[in-house]
Amino acid sequence: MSLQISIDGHSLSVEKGKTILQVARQNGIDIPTLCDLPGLASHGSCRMCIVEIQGRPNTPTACTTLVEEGMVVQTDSPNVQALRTELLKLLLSEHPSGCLICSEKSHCDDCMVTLRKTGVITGCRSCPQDGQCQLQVLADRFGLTEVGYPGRYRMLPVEKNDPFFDRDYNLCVLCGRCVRVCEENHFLSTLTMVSRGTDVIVGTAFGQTHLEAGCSFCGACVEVCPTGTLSEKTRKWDGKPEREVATTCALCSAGCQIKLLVKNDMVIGSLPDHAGESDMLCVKGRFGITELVNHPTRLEQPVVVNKDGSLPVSWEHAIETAAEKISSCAPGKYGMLISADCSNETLYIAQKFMREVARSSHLQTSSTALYGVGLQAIQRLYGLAQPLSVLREADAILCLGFDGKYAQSVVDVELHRAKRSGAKLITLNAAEHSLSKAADEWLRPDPGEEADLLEMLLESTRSGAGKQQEHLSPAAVHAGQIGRLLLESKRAVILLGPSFLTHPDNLFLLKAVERLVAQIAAQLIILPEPVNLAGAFRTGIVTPATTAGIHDLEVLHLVGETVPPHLPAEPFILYQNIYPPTRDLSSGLVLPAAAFTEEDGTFLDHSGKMRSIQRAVTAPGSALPSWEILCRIAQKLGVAGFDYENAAQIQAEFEKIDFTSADLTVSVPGLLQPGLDVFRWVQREDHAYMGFPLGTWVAGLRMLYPE
Amino acid sequence: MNKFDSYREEALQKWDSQIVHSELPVIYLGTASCGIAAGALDVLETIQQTLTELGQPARIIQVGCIGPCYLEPIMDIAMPGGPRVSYTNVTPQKAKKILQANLAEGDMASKMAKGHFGDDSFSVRTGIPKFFDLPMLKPQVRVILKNCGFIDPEDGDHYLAQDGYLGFLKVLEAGPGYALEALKESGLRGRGGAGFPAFKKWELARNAQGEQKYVVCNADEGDPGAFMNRALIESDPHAVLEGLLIAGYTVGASQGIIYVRAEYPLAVKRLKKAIAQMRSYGLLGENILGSEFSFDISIKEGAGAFVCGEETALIASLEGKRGMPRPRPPFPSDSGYNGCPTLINNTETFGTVPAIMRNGGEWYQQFGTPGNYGTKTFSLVGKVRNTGLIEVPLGTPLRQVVEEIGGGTELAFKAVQTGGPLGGCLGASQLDTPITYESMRDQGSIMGSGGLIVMDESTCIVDMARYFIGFALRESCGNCTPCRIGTRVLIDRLEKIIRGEGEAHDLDVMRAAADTMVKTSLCGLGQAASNPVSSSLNFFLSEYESHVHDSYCQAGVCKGLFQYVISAERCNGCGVCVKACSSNAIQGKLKELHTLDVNLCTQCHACVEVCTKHAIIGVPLPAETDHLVLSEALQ
Repeated sequence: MSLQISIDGHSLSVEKGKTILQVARQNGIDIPTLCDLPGLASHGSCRMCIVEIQGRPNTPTACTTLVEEGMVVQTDSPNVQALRTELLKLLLSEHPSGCLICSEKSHCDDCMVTLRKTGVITGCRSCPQDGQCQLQVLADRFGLTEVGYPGRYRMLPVEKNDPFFDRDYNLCVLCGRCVRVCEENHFLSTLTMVSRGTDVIVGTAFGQTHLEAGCSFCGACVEVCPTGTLSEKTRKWDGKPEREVATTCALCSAGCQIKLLVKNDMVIGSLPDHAGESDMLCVKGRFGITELVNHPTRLEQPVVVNKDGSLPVSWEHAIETAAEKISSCAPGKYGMLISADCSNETLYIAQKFMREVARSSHLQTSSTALYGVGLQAIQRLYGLAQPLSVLREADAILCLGFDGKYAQSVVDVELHRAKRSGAKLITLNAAEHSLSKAADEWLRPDPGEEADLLEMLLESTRSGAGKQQEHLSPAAVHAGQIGRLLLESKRAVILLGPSFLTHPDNLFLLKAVERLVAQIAAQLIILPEPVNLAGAFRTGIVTPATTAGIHDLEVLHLVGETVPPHLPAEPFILYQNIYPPTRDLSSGLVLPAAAFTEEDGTFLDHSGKMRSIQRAVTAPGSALPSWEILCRIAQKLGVAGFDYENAAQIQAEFEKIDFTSADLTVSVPGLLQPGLDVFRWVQREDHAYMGFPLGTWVAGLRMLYPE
Repeated sequence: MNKFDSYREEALQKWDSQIVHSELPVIYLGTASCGIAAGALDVLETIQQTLTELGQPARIIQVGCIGPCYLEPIMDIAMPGGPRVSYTNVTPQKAKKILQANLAEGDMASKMAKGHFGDDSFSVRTGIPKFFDLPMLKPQVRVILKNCGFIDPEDGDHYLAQDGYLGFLKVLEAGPGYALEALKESGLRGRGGAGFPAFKKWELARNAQGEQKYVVCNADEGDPGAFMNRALIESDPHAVLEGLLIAGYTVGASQGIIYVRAEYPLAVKRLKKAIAQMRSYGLLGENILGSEFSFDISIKEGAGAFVCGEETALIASLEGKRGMPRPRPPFPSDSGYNGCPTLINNTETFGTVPAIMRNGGEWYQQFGTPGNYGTKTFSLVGKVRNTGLIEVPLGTPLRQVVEEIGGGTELAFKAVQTGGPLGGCLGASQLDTPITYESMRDQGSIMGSGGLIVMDESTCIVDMARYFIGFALRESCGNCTPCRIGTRVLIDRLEKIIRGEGEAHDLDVMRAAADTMVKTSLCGLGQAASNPVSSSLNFFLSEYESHVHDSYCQAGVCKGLFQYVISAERCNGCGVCVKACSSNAIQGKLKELHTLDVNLCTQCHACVEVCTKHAIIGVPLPAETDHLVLSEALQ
């Protein structure tokens, strides 16, 4: 239904139920705002968007006023402009604004480089958000050169004891965006307005730290803060980024779309790519990337290692050495271990390398040990995997072994949102987790008894179930109720969390899930932690382990994996990774690889959808994408078909192949046995990348996941 | 219906036999909060003791507030066959004497009596004036306060005997249309302060879409110095409850909620009791009196926030959320408590409704003036001689209230603050203003909920402004820019001026802040918070200028901006001030003019407060005074 209104003399036909601000935006009329944020309910506290409406007293706010038939609005009269200026002056009287009125401001920039980090912010030049601040934008727009009201400084200590971001509430303008985004978009309410009147300030309940208050460190509040009140620790003084590069976060299989912030050819931060359908990130993708890819110990040059020590060499020398070692190695004595964190391109090239260069069948991934006997079941389930968007239509959701407190908190938000829309949320988890309170039903087995509980659930969803059996335990009764609920639902979704997939009993659990999916006609979401497990399945890397133990190898090629702590008869180790090995090698080659921020490529996310990564910065030193290292070795050995110029060419090749039908499986005669603890050195509690727990590089994560 | 009729019959009989034609003496004692604060409970104990000692049986009725709080404790005695005679400012000793005289000696102790409730012939015979002929009470018209001081607020039968719930019965019989018509004709405007026509609000709520509707009684009464709602609830809770019941029926609500501030424990107690009584009369619950109407009332106590008296903040508080006002539209009548249509009115508005329903809308028009029909209660406090709760028809000139009812001020009148902390102050030249919503607004103030704070020449206007702005500063919810920061700016400048550091520019800064607050604040609190400053700058500019340019506080309040001197004309050498002074700054022999040494004086104000002759006055400091040194010395 449309109405006719007039804004600034323009006659407009507008939709009923919209605010004046929304209508103005749609029609290119720019009304200044501060507390408003598209996507959040309007707040009306800053008063910047005041307008004049004929027939109404004073100046109502455009963000809270709905359009009405015949409304006549003036958005920029002298009266309104004067009032807005006064409001900004009032705000600046309680915000350090020394620089605004300083007589030296025009030539201050050149001399102020290190004086900025004084600890007490007195004006724009000493504020981390200088040049990226909404108050500066408004002051500029209104042509403000003085404040005119007596100033006030809150004298609050800067809050630095939480990881990832500092909070200096002396700068806060109380727009409330952080409170609202946390409450409305993230359903966490970590932040609230504390106290009232002139003492009102943003804070947590009872003065807790964010860690204590249950903050997921998703960083949404930091993103929406218009001033320097909330600032990221890792890029506090970096200033405005030079450019943003759209890519995909490669720290788990969710496939969130991110924007990498780049300055001086370095990644300085990351934000959700709102244009790319990701409105939020978890702590890993939001705050983990900078430290991960920029740690000073990044490998930069190839290094030869032997009993005399290590020696940096040129790529030519390194490739020669590698080629020589491989060619002189008996086919059965060469083995490759490759991480499921690698891109499709690297995985595909590795597969090809094994067949056409090494002519060895000893190809394995650490994921085999991670998932053990359940690996085949996971592979089958991947045929049913759905994207997270199916949660929006769900009427019942069963979460198995999922904890979205920190990692994958974006999924938590989707689950809360689904619940708000009326879905029944059921969770099965032995421990306290992010859904303990929110779930409608919490099936809590004793640790180790998950299989039994799942079996009870399964029983109750079998057709013909519901017959009274007197000897049922309370747990079984409860499971029975849940089962019936699931059976009656029309759009059930089952979600498998990372810890469920790596459970020691996962073979049984996953088979039970397969049956459950069929019985209640549910859609399935799988959320493994390795970013490209789906790609590993698809490119034939992951195959079931078969027999026997480790053969003594002469050459062990590690691609994105860490060095096994103990190997019988140390082979020559070809080590490709972004960070140095965790122990000394007796002999080998350490080859610097590129991280996902430094190469183009693709991977398949949790639902099997193709996601691309973009090269945003130059890799450190002379590091190369892993696939390129393999190609160079191949070329050195004179094997044809490895002269790709870029990732796109590789992609074009493997896209033509139907991996399901092609006989490309490399049989894996038991390079590793399931259950063999060889790969358990990877600590996956706080998730890992290229074999290293993220906490190794990201200080804040060590606080979230204390040892 | 029959059951209720029988309750009513019983109540009427009880009233007749126990009060009107009591064979025992009836002793009335005011035990509302005002009475209790003045010491009524001690008097009660003495009454009980004395009755035992005298061996005389009597009926003690504890009543609510009859109005003139300055006369509390008030004890009345009605001997069998005689009218009720009122004795005021009763101490336990006085009470004993009066009881003795009346009960044992057949003596009315007329010299101690203040007034009576009988006829003219009794006045002629005894020389005691009629209570309601006393100057403080004569101009008053008691519609809302009709029962206050006459019934026991904790005895529902007393209310029934005063035509209690007849208004509701009438509406139940005639239908909600009748109620709306009567309300419309009466012209009743919301008594909470905004003065929005009550019938319109009720009509909007009635017509709103929604299965579930609520009526909410705003008994938050956050204004300092205002106690109209408290007195009404403590003295006649059923009047409010009947109004709420009528409103519920009219708009189609099934639940009534009374939001009463937690600082009124006696009011809460009496409400709970009255609600239980309603239930026993069959006036609450399913199918009331056999009709289709089901209704219940619950109480929610506030948590110490003035801003929760604002209707949308009140609703947020009811929902368990932070008490922050919300932008309107949507208005509560469309979407209020839990998103349902909600009618929210002030206690006094509901308290007036039963009388209007009983007597009809046209009856109400006999009080007040067109556009401002009816009466309103006010709390008259401050420097007037007769402080207390009053009720006058709208349109009564302020002068009559201050001088006749209030008995005027001892020192020269300076100003009266109307409308509470968000109101403005009117000076001597505006005393002829009639009290109506429009005229108050035109004079730069507001009617508000009814607080009238009278000030005399010993009140510093700047200090008064600072007090009220400080209140707004603390009570603002802090959400919107103009109110949160504007109040801070105002108090910052006011304190600067009070310290003697004021500059002419400061007044302009305050005006600018006030202007922004009025024009851009989100809610009524922000829009009105600057009133004390704006109105006093308008009408008492000279006082500000004297502070700023001459560093002189005429009222002798702002430390360091005056010095004390003892007036030769007024001082009678009584010596009370010498004892009060903790710095030994005053010397003087009995019956001789005392002197004050300004070098020892710390300006603590103690002597001024005890001097009954107002002989200690503030005069300008010598021109060469170094104010900063003086200020430091006085700390």
